[in-house]
Amino acid sequence: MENKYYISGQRKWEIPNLKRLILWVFITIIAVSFLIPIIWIISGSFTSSIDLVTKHPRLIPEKPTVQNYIDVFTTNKTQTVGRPLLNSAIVSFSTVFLTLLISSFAAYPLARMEFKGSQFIFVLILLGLMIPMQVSFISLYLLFNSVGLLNTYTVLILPGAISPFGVFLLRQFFRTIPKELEDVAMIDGCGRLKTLYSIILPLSVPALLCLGIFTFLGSWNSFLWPLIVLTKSKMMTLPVILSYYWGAFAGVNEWGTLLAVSVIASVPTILIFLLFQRYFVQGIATTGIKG
Amino acid sequence: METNTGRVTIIKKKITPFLFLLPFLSFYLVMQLFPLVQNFHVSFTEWDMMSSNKPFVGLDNFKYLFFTDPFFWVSIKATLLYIVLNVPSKIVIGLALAVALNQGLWGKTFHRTAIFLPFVINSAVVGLLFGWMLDPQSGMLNYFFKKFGLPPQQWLVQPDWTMEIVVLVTIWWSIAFNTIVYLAGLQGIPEELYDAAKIDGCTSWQSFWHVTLPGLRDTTMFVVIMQVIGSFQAFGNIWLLTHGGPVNATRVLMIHLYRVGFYFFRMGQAAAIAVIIFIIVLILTLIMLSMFRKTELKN
Amino acid sequence: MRGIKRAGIFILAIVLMFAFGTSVLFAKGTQEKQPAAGGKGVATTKKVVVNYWSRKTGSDGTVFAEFIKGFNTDNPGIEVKMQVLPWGEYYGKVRAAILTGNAPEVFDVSVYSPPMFLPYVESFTKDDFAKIGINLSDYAENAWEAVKFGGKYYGFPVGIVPYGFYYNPNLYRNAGLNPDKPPTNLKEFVEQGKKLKKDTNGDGKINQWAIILTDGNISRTWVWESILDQNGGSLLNKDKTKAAFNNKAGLDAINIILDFSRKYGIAPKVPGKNETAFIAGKAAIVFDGVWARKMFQDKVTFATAPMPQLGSVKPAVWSSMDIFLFPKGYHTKNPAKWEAAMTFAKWVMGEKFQLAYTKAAGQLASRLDTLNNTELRADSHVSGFLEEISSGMVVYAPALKTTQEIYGIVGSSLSAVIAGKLSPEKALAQSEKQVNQVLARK
Repeated sequence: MENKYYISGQRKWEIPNLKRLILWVFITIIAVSFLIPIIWIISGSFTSSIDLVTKHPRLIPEKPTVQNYIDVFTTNKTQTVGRPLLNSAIVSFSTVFLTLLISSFAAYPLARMEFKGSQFIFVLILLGLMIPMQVSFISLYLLFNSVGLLNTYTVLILPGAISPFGVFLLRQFFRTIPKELEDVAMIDGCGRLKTLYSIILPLSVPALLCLGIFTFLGSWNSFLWPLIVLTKSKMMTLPVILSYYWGAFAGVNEWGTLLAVSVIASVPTILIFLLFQRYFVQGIATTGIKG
Repeated sequence: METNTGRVTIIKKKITPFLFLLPFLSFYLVMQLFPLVQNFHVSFTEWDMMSSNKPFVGLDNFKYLFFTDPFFWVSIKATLLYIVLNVPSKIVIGLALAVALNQGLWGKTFHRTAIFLPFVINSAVVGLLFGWMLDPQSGMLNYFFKKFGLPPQQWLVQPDWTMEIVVLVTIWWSIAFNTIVYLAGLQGIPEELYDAAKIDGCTSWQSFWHVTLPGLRDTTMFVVIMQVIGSFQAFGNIWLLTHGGPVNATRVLMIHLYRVGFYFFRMGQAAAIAVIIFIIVLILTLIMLSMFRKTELKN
Repeated sequence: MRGIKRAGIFILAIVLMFAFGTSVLFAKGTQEKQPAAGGKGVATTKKVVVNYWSRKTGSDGTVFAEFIKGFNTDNPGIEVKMQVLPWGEYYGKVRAAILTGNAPEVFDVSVYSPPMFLPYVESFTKDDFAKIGINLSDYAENAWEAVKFGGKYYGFPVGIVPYGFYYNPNLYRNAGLNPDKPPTNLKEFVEQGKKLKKDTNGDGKINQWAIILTDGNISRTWVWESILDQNGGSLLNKDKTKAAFNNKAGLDAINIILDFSRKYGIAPKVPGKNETAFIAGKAAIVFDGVWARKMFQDKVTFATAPMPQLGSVKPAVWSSMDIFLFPKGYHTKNPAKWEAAMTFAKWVMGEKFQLAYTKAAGQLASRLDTLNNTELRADSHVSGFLEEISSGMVVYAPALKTTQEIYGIVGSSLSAVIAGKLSPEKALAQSEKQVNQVLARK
């Protein structure tokens, strides 16, 4: 059981050996070609802007320099990245925390309790998957303005923390947990709340991690909403700052610093991914995505 | 006393689920469903995003889109092209990669990491990176093309193949999602089925066809629906690569909406486009769900 | 009873969760606001804050911000806070801010944008300017015309932002050309271009071009509009109600651009990142705005010249402007703020700032004394643009609510022509029809 969803080492169905070699060559080529653009961003960020434009492209910089990184943290040709990095971190981690909290609360009764209107509410939540976020921008903007919360962390965190997908994912997972475990807890005198945090949530770690990672990625990389809603430098997040460095008319040829900001913006997501990548599959596998 | 606690228990039973749901539902209503309703309202008005009154104009916005707007049908066409290119290729490639990664080949951790890694990169970084790599004059790709004696390409500058290139970049960037879901799906197929197939004398190709694919039916349904919905809402990846150009070749509905709303400030029309997207997605989802239900019954 | 207790704890838990989830964030929000409300140092400084929003995302903005620091020290009673915002979503943000009453006291726009804001921004009469202490005749005359709508002046023309001609003197010398003699007409442009086109590494392929066509939709339109004006045509008719470019002037303008590669072979057929190519020395010439000056400065040797007359009738070049607008609402309600904003605006329009800013950054002033400054006139990095203004060849983009949209339409038709998807004739007819549709909309 414990190994069933473990991603490596599992070989259920095998292709014969000769074909495996061909397959290996093929997939290795794909893997390497997937990596090249990423390696290129990294190597470019260690090359001076002028070399990037005038010299031939190369994967390993001729004259490596960390000047780009020093620039983006200090000299502020347009904006420094220290504060935005902090903002992004605050926003992303808060979003993850709130999402997990709110979604698991909402998913629990939908998965485990019989009540009038549960079907209706579930469909209502699925409807949310079909609403393009961009559609609600203006309404949301007016809403947050009316409560005086523009240019705060709240306006960056809350919309991302309400995740119909998260409720859906956790509901599916909670349904796979044997009901007997819950019944035992209830007989022991646990209330619903205690059952949720002492029985259900500890058993749902893979799903929670999976949702947490997806939420983190979405929040960290969120671009358009902060771009539209923020008007104070202090509050800007990394992707917004990136668009400053990218500013179409001027500075478009500061490729070195631009790539340095890109790398800085990507490092946290890459680290989180490398640390938790096996839960990606594990979490989804165990939710048994079925209608 | 007895009856009293009994009633309390019943009431408690009734309200407990709603107490759990309260935080999510209240925010959800206010921040997602309410804007949706408001959006429906705006689609019947004329609003420049600045004036405080929104005069009611009936169906004028929809009429304008259908009969006058030079770019509405262009963007419908672009959206359909995007979906036709994007959804099937991402499903087939996602499945193929998942099957390959599931073979336990030597170096599988490297393969998996490399293929999943682009997924975590910011779309702004992706747009920026490929914008430069694909520049016809100074881009890296054309440099290598020339070096290996191949004719340099125009990439994102000419309209004929832009959508294909955008989809290729999108595959690079987001194939991980489908691959992950399929990997998960593959691990849910009981091994006994493969053993049985082997005993029946199935070749590996046959057992893929008769065991693996049917076993992935639910997964595929999920992937197809997510992909179709996602493709209708596709914005960031295209916007940051081409801004809807060249010659409107990649001006999908969301980009048209964004231009009309946030660049030209015709919020009524932008809202009308949003309504159209929402209705199309809703109908398609219902159709897909019922189609999958039918095949389920057949099996 | 226990059930009630448990329900109580449960509700308490939810409340606590909200407390954690939102109140912390609320607190963050109010913390951000406190300094602006003058929370701490009431006794020492009671400054009037003037918020200034700008779309100068490049080095022009950085230089401007440096100057504002100087202004704030010189004017201890005022604090100007400059906020640079990305240009793509800029106008949307300003509009949303005006709608919700969060507008800054001052914001800058380009020459074609005031009509988007007209009923929501303050207007001025000549008397008002006299009171503030701004003498209209100190400035390039057409600068004020550009902010005049219905007999009233909306905003201040802070600077003129023309398109122009950059070239690389080193590549000129290498090609045996005189770097002090940039082209003035089509014939010279082509002659020089043919010499500038080179195969520098001997692989049989051209790798240094005279010019590379821009891959930007809008900048492409600016080049075309410049040549259209040179042909005696114009984008719209006099009262800006109809497209006026579907004629010989417009057609010739397209063909001149196409001929760069088609007939003369001085440009590659495929457009690209023209600025990058210019910096890299892969193109000897680039058509670009004055804003690019600062970007080129520490990267490449360059000089500027007035846009050569590629068309057949007269010299002309597309131009924008940097304009200050002042949202309505605080003029009467908060006179101290208004006065501070006017002090700031007057300083921006003043001799000292205009000269220093023009010297330091990528934009031009609108004051005549700066435009005629001998030191600037001798600076080859900017002299070309100054000459464009003093020779009167500058043509401002038409100011309409829909100008952005019109440029979008024309730009996309032009890119279809360059990509070989549409004939020039069809492209002009098509965009004429679409532009007229846009203009006919109420």
